[in-house]
Amino acid sequence: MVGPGPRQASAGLDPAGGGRPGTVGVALRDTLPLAVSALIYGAVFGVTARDAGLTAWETALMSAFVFAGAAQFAAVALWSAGASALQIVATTFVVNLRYLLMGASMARFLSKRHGRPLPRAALAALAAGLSDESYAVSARRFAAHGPSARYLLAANTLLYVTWLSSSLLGALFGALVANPERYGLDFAFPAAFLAILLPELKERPALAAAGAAAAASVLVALYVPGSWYLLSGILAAALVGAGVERNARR
Amino acid sequence: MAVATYVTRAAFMVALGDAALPAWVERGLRYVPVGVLTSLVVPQVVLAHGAWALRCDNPFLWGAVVSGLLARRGASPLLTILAGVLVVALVRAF
Repeated sequence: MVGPGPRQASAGLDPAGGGRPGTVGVALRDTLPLAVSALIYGAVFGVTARDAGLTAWETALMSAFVFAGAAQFAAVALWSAGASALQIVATTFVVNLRYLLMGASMARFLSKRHGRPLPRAALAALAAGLSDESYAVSARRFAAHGPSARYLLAANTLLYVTWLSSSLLGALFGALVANPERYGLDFAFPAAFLAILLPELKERPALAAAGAAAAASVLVALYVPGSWYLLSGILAAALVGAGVERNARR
Repeated sequence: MAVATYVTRAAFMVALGDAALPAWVERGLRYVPVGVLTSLVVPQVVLAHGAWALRCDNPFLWGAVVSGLLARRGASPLLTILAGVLVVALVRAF
């Protein structure tokens, strides 16, 4: 995640673009609740990987290079079921298809800065750390206060460090986090996402988009195996949201 | 795995950097955040093990009701999460 990205990005920052000094602090504060959830989720992943027969070293390497919770859980399950490397890579790709749309949406945010557009190298570096959680906090922040590459980088980095360290700790000292469900900790992520989502649902297009995403994701989750439901829900939200917004303007 | 993940993250993000897009694509992309969050949460709450779970003994349903009401009333994210987690733990305990 390090590289020329952040420095180049800050060179073109606009004072009105949400990239003021203190942006990193705001980003870390906004991301903290999600980092706490990632800490638990990462530790559970470490335990799962260890139970599947991966060493702590292998688990840490996977978290370091892949950094995608859902895909890693799927990969470990496939691996312990004796799946081929090709199957694991194909599943990873499908589970992560949602990042195509999140990346497109993030590119639109970051290109709307008043100053220079972000260089492609910076976008490529920021993309490496894009996750559901950093996307969620950043999209909310950028819609309200304007985009900032620094904000996204800070959110990415905090979540990356949390995920890597917690999955390693889970793999090393699994017994300490043996039963997080008992404390309701598996609900931390859904609750965090609700906290971000619900305040945004004010106008009709957004409400319609959420309704469409809920219906599509639930139906596809019920009838189609795998994680196609995520992509289906996002596409439904985009189509319905755009349609309702266009009709409202007429 | 790392390559397959990075390709999905970077492909559109880099390619679309500052390209001009048709208006309908721009409009659609505005609703991707809502789509992501809704699709991550709703199936987890209303389904369990691949079937409908709109029952009183579904802890996530209660958690979502409490967290949802708090979030809707402008409670802080931390309070929203803590309350939801607590409710889920309580429903599981009883």
